[in-house]
Amino acid sequence: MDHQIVRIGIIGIGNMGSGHAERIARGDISGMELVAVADERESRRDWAREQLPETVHVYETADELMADPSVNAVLVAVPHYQHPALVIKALQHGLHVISEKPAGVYTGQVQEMNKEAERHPELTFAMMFNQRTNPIYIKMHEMVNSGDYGKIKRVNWIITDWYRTQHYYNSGSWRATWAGEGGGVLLNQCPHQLDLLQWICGMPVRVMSYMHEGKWHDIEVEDDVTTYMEFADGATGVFITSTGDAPGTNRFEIDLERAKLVCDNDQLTVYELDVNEREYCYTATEGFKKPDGHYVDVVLEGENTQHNGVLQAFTDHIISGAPLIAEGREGIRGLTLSNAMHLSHWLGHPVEIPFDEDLYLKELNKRRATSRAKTTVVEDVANLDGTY
Amino acid sequence: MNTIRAAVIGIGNMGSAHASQIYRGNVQGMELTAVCDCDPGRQAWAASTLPGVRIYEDYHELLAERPVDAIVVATPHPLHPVIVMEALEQGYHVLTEKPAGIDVGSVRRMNEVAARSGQVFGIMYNQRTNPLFQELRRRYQKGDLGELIRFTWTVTNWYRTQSYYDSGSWRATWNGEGGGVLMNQSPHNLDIWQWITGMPERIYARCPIARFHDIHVEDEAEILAEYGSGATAVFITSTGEFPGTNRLELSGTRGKAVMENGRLTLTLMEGDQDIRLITRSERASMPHSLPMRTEVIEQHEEESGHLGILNDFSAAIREGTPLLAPGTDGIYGLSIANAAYLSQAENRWVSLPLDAEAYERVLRQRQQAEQERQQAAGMRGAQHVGEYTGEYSERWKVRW
Repeated sequence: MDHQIVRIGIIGIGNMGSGHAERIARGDISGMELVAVADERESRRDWAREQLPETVHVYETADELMADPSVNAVLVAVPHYQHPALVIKALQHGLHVISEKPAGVYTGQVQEMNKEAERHPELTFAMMFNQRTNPIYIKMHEMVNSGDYGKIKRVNWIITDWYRTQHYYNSGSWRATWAGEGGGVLLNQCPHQLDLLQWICGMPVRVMSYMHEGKWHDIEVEDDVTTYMEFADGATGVFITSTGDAPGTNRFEIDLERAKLVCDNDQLTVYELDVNEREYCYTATEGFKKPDGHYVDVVLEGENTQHNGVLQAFTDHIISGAPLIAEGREGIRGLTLSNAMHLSHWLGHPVEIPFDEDLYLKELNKRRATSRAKTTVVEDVANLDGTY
Repeated sequence: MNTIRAAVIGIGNMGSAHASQIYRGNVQGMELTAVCDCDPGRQAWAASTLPGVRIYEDYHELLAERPVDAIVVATPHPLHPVIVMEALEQGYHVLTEKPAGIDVGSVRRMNEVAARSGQVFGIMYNQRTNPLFQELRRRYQKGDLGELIRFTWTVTNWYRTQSYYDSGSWRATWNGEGGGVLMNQSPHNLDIWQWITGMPERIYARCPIARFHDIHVEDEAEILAEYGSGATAVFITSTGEFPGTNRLELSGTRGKAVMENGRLTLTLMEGDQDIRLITRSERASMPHSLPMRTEVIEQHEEESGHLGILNDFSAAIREGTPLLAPGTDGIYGLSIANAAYLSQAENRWVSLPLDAEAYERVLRQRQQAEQERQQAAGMRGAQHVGEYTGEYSERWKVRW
């Protein structure tokens, strides 16, 4: 197959998929061409015929799209539950694949997806973790993982600026239901933060979480979450999120043995200690003495390329083997965190990671079985530009 | 009313500062008539520094001889409720250092005695005199921020070295202080938290022992809490991080307040709108801009601190004015700390008001284990190395 051009088909052209389609169609991604889209909804296919170039093939099903010989890669942008099955199918068709986040709804299905990916080392598999292109998070990732600042002591992320109206939750029958989305703010809004958290700080080994379902909205899933976390080397932290706070906060703090990093409202502040605090603590001869340190001017490099950056890296990886922004198989980590938080809340006690995946699915299925049908659905493609 | 004659019981770090201030006439309407300390070294300090002041070794004698009208209690924490109760029952007005005690059970009994006594009873919550805390409390309680959504306070700028913990045998012990950072450094924060928002109804906490130092108590804590209304809170503290953080955030249905770096920033909905109404009525998924206004309040005047509390106590006795920090309020912050210990011990949610007996069992166990450990190590009650400057340390103020 000619890999000088990535000829992509997008499965699902709702909120996210239609945005990708438009950007690819107007040539934002060099080396990538939009050749097909698929959506089960006639209204979305009509939209595609009207808004996308005539050359783009419009299909009703994913199967039809994957069978199109002009397609050599797919972008999966359907509701979360279907991500793993479609990724598996695409890989089996010999197609490169990039999936929207989250990787799936429960880790069991994502394990299957990752196993399939392992069988196809020749194919590129990526996740749409566009916030990993933010130069601030790249810097935090580099600083923490450089080892120059010692071990992490504390991680606090208050991410409560995901405000959503009831209208938002009414737009789409699958949205914010156990049956359709498998969760609320953790599955829809937070996959990015959960991914960044593990990417920068590593995976927690234990979480204790409590949530409220339908606290700020008429929905059956969580819209308010408070989690305490423990990491393997003793670091602790909290993760707080909600879609009901306004104006809300986005403040990510990492305290290390030799530095403190705070990303508050898109501003990174770094304080560096001249010595490792852990050594200082035991050698200082005065009880109230403090180690010396200073604020550092942080130089951020590169553009915040977001979705286009992820798609470009995906394209370049296929063509020339350039590195991906996020490997597809890494998607399981953030989802593991999200599942562990739900399980802890459902059981009312802390949960160790790895957790019992069968128990998680059993608990989730209980909720899916009684998931209530929405009565006030407004089929609407929300304009969420700049909100993810 | 005539000048109040006061005695300070316990003239260590804090007590010697209180005694010196009253002695120098810095507390209006109050004079220092007596001090009491069982340590001969401290008595000698008083004899040379506070000429004319009567010095007692045993507080029972002091209470019996009645040379004073009011008592300031600044002994080690476990003695606070014991001495306060005796003094109140004998008709003295009492101001106690924080924390009110080390276990909720004895503080409950103390509060019952206080309610019966009709005497003035205050607690040294000097951080309540901070103008920014007062302003946030006033604005929140007036309704400017609407109903509480969540309260999040990270106060990890209590850095201490190992040398600090090695400087006194009672320090950071279950017998001496009744715990670690939650009993020594954070009582002010726990009080300010509940003073602003009221008390939560259940708590889950992690406060493991000796994470950052070689000690047998906790030097950090993460407290998750929930109020009766369903609002939530997170409180994080530690003595093992530098530079640490002191950032208080209160999110309400009409906006949010953030206190950090000595500044209070209010971001409020225009027209005092309640976000819940917008959530229900708005016809967009997320309004592109919610109309908000921002108010930044700097701290212009110094907090009056310990002297402010002493003056307030004096005024309450002389003029019957209400106390800024009534002594019976001491139980709230202590309940949160005790609940955190119980939650840590049993790894479960703990409801408030606290089951005092359940906590007492945990405390007794820890105290006993500590005594056995100390005996096995041949430790004796080594003397605490104090500062005894007779001045209030800058460290005791709110630090950002």
